[in-house]
Amino acid sequence: MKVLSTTAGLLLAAAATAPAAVNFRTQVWPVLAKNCVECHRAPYKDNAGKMIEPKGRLRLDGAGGIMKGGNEGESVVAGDPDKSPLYQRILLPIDHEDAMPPKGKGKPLSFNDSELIKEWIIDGADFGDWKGSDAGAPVAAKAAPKTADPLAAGATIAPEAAKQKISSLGALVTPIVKDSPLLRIEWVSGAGAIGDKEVVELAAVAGNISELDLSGTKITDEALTTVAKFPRLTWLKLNGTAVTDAGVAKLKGLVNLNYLNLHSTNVSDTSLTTLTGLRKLRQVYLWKTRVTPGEAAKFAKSIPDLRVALE
Amino acid sequence: MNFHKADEFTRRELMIKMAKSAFGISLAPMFGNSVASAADFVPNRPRAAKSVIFLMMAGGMSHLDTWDVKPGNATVMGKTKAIDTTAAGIQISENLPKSAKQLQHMVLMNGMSTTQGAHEQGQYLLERSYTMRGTIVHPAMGSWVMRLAGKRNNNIPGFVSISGDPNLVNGGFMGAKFAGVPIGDPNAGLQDSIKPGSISEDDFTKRLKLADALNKQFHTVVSSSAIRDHEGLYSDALRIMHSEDLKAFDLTKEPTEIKEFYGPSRFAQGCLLARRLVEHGVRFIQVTHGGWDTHYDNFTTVPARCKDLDDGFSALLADLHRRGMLEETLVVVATEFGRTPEIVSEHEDGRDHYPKAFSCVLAGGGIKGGRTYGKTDASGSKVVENLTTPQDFNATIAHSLGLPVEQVVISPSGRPFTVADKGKAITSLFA
Repeated sequence: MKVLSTTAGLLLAAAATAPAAVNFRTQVWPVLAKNCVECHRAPYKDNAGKMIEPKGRLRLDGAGGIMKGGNEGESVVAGDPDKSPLYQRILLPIDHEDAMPPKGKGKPLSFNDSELIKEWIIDGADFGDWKGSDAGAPVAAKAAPKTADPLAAGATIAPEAAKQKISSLGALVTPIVKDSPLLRIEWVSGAGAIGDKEVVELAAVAGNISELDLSGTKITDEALTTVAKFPRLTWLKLNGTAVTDAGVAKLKGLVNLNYLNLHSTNVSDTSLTTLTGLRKLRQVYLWKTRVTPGEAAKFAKSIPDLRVALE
Repeated sequence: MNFHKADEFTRRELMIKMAKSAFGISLAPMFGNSVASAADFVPNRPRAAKSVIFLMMAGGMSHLDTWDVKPGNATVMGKTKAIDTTAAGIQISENLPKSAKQLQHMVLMNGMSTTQGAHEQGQYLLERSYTMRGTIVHPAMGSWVMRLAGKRNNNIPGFVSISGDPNLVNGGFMGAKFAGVPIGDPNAGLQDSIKPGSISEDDFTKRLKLADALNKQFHTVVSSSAIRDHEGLYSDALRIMHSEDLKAFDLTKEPTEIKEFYGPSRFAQGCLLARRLVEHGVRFIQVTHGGWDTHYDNFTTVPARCKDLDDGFSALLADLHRRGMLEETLVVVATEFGRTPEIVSEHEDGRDHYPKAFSCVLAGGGIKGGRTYGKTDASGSKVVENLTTPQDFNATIAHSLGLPVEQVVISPSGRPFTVADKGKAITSLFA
């Protein structure tokens, strides 16, 4: 603060009677919101995508920002309006270089409004239950980086030759995410040519398979004997296959299963008994099956956060 | 064809030229097709979306009459009323009753704001993340997806555009091989992709060999990127002609009840075709729905446009969900700008262009739905919370796919570009 206005004293004298304590939320905040916050608010992007920082690094849109102050130090000294630039600068004549709002950006505050701010400071600058915005405020501590996928623990990188062999069956074989030993295997094209025999080949990377799409293939329940031996399987699509309840029963050991798609298969309520044991299931798709709405609803409630889509 | 700007060859022009005369098809592609295949791409986040269905509301969709209603403010709402949705506390326009029942899957992006107030410029920025300039054509969003992630199914195109202006989906400086393949009428499928019955397979092969022999000398003498792209298209086309995946384009393979579930309009059938294409591994499908430029008679035209949008979009979400495909498919409803809160009574209650505030929608693709992001003031005229630029929007689409948003691609003129310019992905939208 380079300038202290000598008019401050005069205005102080003008406030003859001290009213009851000023309420920040209902009396002071509307004044700040109308006159100050357009320039003194959380950083934001303008229409051209450019980041706009608060002027003078001073934010007046939240209790934290008001008490913290800006580039030129504190803005409010509780109990002392003469040492509070927030109050002093709104009193400066409009042509003064430090006047607020600056010439051309807004009109000088009315006497009543500046008095409210002064009284509020005298009263101790109490915000009551008002907190305002803390958007864009520096977070105390950055969240710790996500720990590596616990499911990947103990998995070794799948041998290249084994992956090549599976690719040669027309499968798309990719890591589920960058730097993971876990694999996603799917037939984006040509699923109709895949049957139980081909699925047996997947056993070569049994410990790596996390996501497996066998939808639209010619597999039978027999293939699920192999699939049941993929301990890290989380995501399995069997929709549009000849799989039955007997096949689903083989999946009871796949405790990591999170997503299971059985739509357009012949499975019935019987399968739900098996699936209730898979406590990590979160999404199960049963459209166009023999599963009944009543049993599906019961099943959905049997596992926390499970979503069942029947249609 | 415009030979002055080599990067503006549209795929449509090339496909038409190629497909109309089987004589031109080269059997042995001398240069191959350099669009990366899916096996090379690994997403940078788990359970990333595999495909994007981009529903383009061309002409400027009125935000107040669709996704950002202001109930109680009759001055800006005119005749449009608000209705409840499946998300508590969120209302949308009565013009979208079926979509209101799918809101649990959507985030309403009500803080969109753009710098461009003309159609061509606005669509360009929305689809390409950069402002239009005379010296370069930036690639379309689908072209970026193809460049950064590649095809999932090498037998069919990875980027398809249904019912839109082919220029909206050209590959810009990335060239024809990254452009969207245009389909005019979803019910007509991929035009000219079937060998005429009067030509035997033997004859066909002979003609191709002859064409190849004739081309060979030309290719050894002249080798430019445009010619290589052209060769790539021929081999693409040939693969399509012999592919089982061609049925992806054939809506007659779809049961009548499903066709009816989507609705009769060309746009709604385009949404159905888009779902079929996703099932066959197509990465990016744009379905364009025009006619949103409601300067005149806004309150008759918008409900009519909304009917088709509501049919197609709501059916698409419900269908993808029951098939277990929604988590891996990002569905986008986008437009180049909104329309004025002021109603122009001398234009039979029309609304003019309004770039400062508008709405788009994101659903599926890992998005946690039933929410809004961004907010306008009480009249829908100014964004007051979470302002989102087209660049931020595109960065968010890229994030959904697990693409490297910051990866620089150098244009032939030697300048660096990224998929969403300086946009920041809104990662908080994801579950």
